Amino acid sequence: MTTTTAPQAVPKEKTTPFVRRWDTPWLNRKLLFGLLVFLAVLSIEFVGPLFWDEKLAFIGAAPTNTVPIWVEGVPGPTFKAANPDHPLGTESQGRDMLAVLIVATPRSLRVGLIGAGVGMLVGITLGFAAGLLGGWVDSVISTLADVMITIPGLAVLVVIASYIPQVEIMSMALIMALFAWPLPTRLIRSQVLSMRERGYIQMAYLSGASTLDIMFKEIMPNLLPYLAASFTGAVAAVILAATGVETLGLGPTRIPTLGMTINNALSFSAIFRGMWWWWGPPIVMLVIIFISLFLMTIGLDEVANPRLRGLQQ
Amino acid sequence: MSDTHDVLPVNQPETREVALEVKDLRVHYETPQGDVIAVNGISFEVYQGELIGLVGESGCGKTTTAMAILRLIQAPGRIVGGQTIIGGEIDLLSLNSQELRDVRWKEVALIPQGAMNSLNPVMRVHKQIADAINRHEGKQSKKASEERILKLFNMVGLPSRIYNMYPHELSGGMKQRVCIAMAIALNPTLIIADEPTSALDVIVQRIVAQTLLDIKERLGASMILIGHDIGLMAQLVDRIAVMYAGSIVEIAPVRTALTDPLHPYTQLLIESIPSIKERKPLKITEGLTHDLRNPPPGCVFQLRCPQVTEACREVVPPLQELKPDHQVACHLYDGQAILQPVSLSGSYLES
Amino acid sequence: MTQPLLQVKDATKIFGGGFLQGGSEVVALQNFNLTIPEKPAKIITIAGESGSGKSTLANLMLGFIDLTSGEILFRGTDIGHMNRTQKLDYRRHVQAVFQDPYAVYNPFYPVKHIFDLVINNFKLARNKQEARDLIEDALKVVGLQGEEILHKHPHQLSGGQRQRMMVARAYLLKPDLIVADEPVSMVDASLRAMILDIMLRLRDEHNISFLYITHDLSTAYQVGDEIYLLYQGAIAERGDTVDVIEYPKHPYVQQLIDSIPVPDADQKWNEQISLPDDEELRTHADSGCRFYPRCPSRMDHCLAKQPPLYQINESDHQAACYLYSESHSK
Repeated sequence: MTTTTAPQAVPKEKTTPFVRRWDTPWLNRKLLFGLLVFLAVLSIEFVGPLFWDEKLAFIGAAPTNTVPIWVEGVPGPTFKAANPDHPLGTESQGRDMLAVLIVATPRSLRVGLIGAGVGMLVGITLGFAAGLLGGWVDSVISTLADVMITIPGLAVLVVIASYIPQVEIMSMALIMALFAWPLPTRLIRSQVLSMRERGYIQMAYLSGASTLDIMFKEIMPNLLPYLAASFTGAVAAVILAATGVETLGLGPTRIPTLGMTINNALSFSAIFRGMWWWWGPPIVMLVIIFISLFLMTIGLDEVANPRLRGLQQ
Repeated sequence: MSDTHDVLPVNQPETREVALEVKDLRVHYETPQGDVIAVNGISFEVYQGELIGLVGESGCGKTTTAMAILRLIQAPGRIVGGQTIIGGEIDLLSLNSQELRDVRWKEVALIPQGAMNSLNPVMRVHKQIADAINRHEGKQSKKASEERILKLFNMVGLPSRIYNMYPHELSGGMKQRVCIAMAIALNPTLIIADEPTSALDVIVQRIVAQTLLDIKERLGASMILIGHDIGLMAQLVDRIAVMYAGSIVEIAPVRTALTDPLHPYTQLLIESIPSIKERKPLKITEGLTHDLRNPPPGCVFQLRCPQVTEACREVVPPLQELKPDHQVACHLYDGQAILQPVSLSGSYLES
Repeated sequence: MTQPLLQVKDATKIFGGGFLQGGSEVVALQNFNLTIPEKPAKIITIAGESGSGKSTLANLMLGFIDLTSGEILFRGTDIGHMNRTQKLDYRRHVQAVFQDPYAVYNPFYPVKHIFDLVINNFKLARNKQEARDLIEDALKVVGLQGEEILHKHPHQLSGGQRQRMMVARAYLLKPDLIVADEPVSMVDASLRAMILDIMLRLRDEHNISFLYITHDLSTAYQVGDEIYLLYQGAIAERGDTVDVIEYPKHPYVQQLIDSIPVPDADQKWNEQISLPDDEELRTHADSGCRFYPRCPSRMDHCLAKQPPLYQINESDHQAACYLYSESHSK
């Protein structure tokens, strides 16, 4: 019935122009650099105590008001000369600044990671449900998320935090999560809505896949870079909000966090007194954290959205 | 074009003027894994007043060629060599951007692929055409502009009542004809139409195709029609050029190409056309192609050619004129290129 | 008389026009009737241009959307009222191949994933080896070999290979019917024959029927047994493929076939035709024959009511045109 003209050619892999390989976009400079810096900051928790005594971060552990070792002389009458045991100086409560950094940084990071983590989990669940199931489920979730987005988060957080007598890392993180979930929910919902119409989703239904299967095995894997970018963005947002609340004095008091350190500095008029080594280091650390998270977010964005990679298609 | 300066072929079509001459055009696309050779040194001529079809399957480089002629290639693509000479004088590839802007649309116009979907959805159709005119000829008076646009509509068979409409209010065929009107607004000498009817239904396709032919006649312009539907080409074009993987493999008058195709790929393409006139057994072929970044030495078609020889795997066959106006790039015809004047009996011609 | 495999009865699908959406409705399919017998296996072509309703029909048959009225009966059971188990069973017997050979693959997984989905959800194999054998067998039917390609990602294969794998996937379930929605329109011309050939072989050697949905009458002519030509949601003409294409009766079908460009420089289109300016979408269910504005043979009463299908001679050939009503042909 049919005639065949098939030369015995060696089947060579046919590739089309603009081949995108999975590994290439992940190795982009922004993501790698940001990740490197972030991991370095994370490692402070483990590496720090190996070189420095963290107990020096407690009140009264060191002589007060000494200047950092590279400062010549003494800038004012209330300060003491540099002490080689405390290279970054000490503050008015007798905390060694280097120890403070080593202790406070991981705690602030923890608030960010846990808060963003919980927020993302809620966001993924609600976003997928709203996107895939549609109907009234979608209406309820979307309306709720929209309302939450419009409420001024920081103000409410301040109120909530002031009601809790003893704020700790965990409670701080969960309070932040309250306002971290709406945006990821909206973003994930819209991604799911657009992916729902793809050919391979139809094929999956035809192959007998259940809605859960489609959610986790078909859609989710393709959303990974997007979810990762949302996560790093959320971590930055949570740390920022938490620091804001802490700077007002509403954070954990016993063991310092970066925000609380700034708060302490403010209450002791460190700015007026010119004690830059008190409020400076936490701010520098926060800037480093934010920049690394930002780089990671836009790096992941490039993975998620090929059009951002500079290859015009 | 292959060096025919030492050739005196018989029955040469009367020396027609050349509207566009493409010489050794090369376009590469950069990828992280190396350059993809999209257009591999093609050369051809478009004569004044003719309609030449550029046909090939997806990925063969025909759209890239059209874009390259108008220097519309964007990163990661780049033109790495060749010349595109209009009217025997201006090499488009050597102009600076100001000169290029003057020439584009006035001398050479393009109806790009999917043009009907690229109309600005928030602008009325008359304004879109007026914009094109104003940008090249300066602001026109409202009355002159309206007259001119209505005349254009008339030329492409559009009713005047659509003057103030938005693109979404028009049907597919009408939108495409608006794009054609835009392309001919400045009376270009060369029009390049890239798949102008691909998205249209059969009957609408016929109407738009008729329109294209019509305006070409009326303007006395030359036209390059790019597509993959050989049936459509048969209805419209004078000559046809067949492209495969970035190279031109055959150029011939359309009648000859259909009845007596010389290149194995052209033969394959013609045989694959399902007939609407008689039922016959399907002709099947394998579809393996090479990696466009790493083409094998020799002929681009070697992996699929049923008549491949050793020479094909080593030497790239040049595009040679075998019969008057019929060029083929294939080793099967080595030694048969027209080399000397022959008697009218055409005794040297073998098929 | 045995129950047919699939029976579409008076199927109508109207989009929009609900209470909350304020009015403009689109009649995508109207009073469509089709019967697919259990045997012999046939390739039934549904041909039409854009807006004809053929894609809507595909989605309805596959259970992706519901009918507005009418029924689709699979071996007697209405698919609109199936529960989850019945629907799964339905999918065992009616599968699909779609138009875009790239979009149907999940880019995250190697191509083997499409087979795994089917094998796991329908429990076709008891262990990995059995699964592997099933896949190899299906690939052989379409002319592909497993070791070379199963681990590759979709972008590493050609369009023709991807589409063939899709057919292999459909074949895996040994269905009774495969709905092929424009299976070759996004495949290169020189590779189409390969896929059409596979369809013919599946019909002849494995008794699988096809609902071949296309706008390309030339391929329909080459492989179809029966053909239904749709125009704006209604059947314009139906019958044996060769009959309808060689002797079209409905004015629309005649104009359509005449407009197909023949690859012969000596057979150009006969005359210039023109379309009336308005190519309105059908909005109301009853406004007479849809082709009226463009019909060269139109009569006054064509506007009154949509013409039913009239028989042309004694064969299966029918056309929905008053020209062929008994009163007219007398």
